[in-house]
Amino acid sequence: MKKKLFFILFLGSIFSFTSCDTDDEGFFNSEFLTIPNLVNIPSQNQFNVNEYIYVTATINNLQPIPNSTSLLDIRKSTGNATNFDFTYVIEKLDGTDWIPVTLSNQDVLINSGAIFAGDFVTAIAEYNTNESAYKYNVGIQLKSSGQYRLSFGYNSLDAVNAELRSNSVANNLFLNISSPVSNLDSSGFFKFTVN
Amino acid sequence: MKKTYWIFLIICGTSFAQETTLDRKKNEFRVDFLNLLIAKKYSFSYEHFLKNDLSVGLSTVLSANSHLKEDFDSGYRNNLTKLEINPYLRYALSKSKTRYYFVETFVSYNKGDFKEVVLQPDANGASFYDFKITSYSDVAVGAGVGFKQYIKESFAIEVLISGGRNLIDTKKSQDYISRVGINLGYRF
Repeated sequence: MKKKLFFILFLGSIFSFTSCDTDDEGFFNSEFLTIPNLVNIPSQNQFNVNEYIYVTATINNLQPIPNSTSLLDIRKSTGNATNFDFTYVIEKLDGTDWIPVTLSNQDVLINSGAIFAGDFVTAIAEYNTNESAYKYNVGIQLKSSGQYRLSFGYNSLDAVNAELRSNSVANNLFLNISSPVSNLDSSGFFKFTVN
Repeated sequence: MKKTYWIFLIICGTSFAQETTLDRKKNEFRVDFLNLLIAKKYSFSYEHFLKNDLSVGLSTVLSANSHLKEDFDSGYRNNLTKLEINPYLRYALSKSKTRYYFVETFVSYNKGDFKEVVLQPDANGASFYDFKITSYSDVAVGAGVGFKQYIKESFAIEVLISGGRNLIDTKKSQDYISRVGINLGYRF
């Protein structure tokens, strides 16, 4: 009986010994950068009904990076990723609650890039070979008056930065760029009024 | 009563004969079928039996696991063990020679590939991120438990659960290694 108990204890200790690894970060084909002001929102905070609020992004292919005198070639780093994605959400104040504004294709005006719209927006900045940059320029129509707020923290713990991720294919590197956005308050919101 | 006595004598005699036969056979060769079938690892082991329930051995593991290679290529792991050489020392816990539990301690020399992202210069004066694959080698120590049973005094079935920790290059190698297997072997 003592021997069996010893055996079970020994077995348990081995399982607990081998069950974790400090290398378990999850995903290794990725690199993280911080580059400010790649995504822009309006400076005005007053709009009229049926006006559009534009969110834009320009990610030049060559970007300055910390601790390097040379510029980073994003396309080469990501195996010619065709686009960068990021998300944001527009909410409207209803009483004391902020309710996400559900968008459809009729509510958006696309100048460049693409969009998946619903309760939040997946913005797709597509590569423009003429400009050597990933571009996104989409307006969202404000259909009713009220208090609104826009934020980039819907799919992220980081509220004050837009988080862009390259849409890399095959086994190429995924480049994650955290980009501080101007005009957000300390909680990560851009608040505006539609009259 | 007489019949029972004779049956008892025969059983004892057979048992004694098995143990002495096994005592004369000092060497054993095994193949790990669990790792071969599930993990596509080729694991071979040799064990030499000493006195006092002690034995020493050496196992070699070669990995050809395409799933691990895919995980390595697609970024879900950053190291890929290709070879393990594991000398071990075992002590049998049970009195029986034909069916017993054992504990082991082992040392593992293991080597493989490590992948990291590095910043490289390109011909146009810019730089780009690229994958750099280098080799690593490490040494682990560990311990484990197992159960072994012999059939017809020669054929062994062994279950082993064992784990250890790498000591030298853990930034590149796995922190922990495991030796879990179901081995079939032949003692001679």
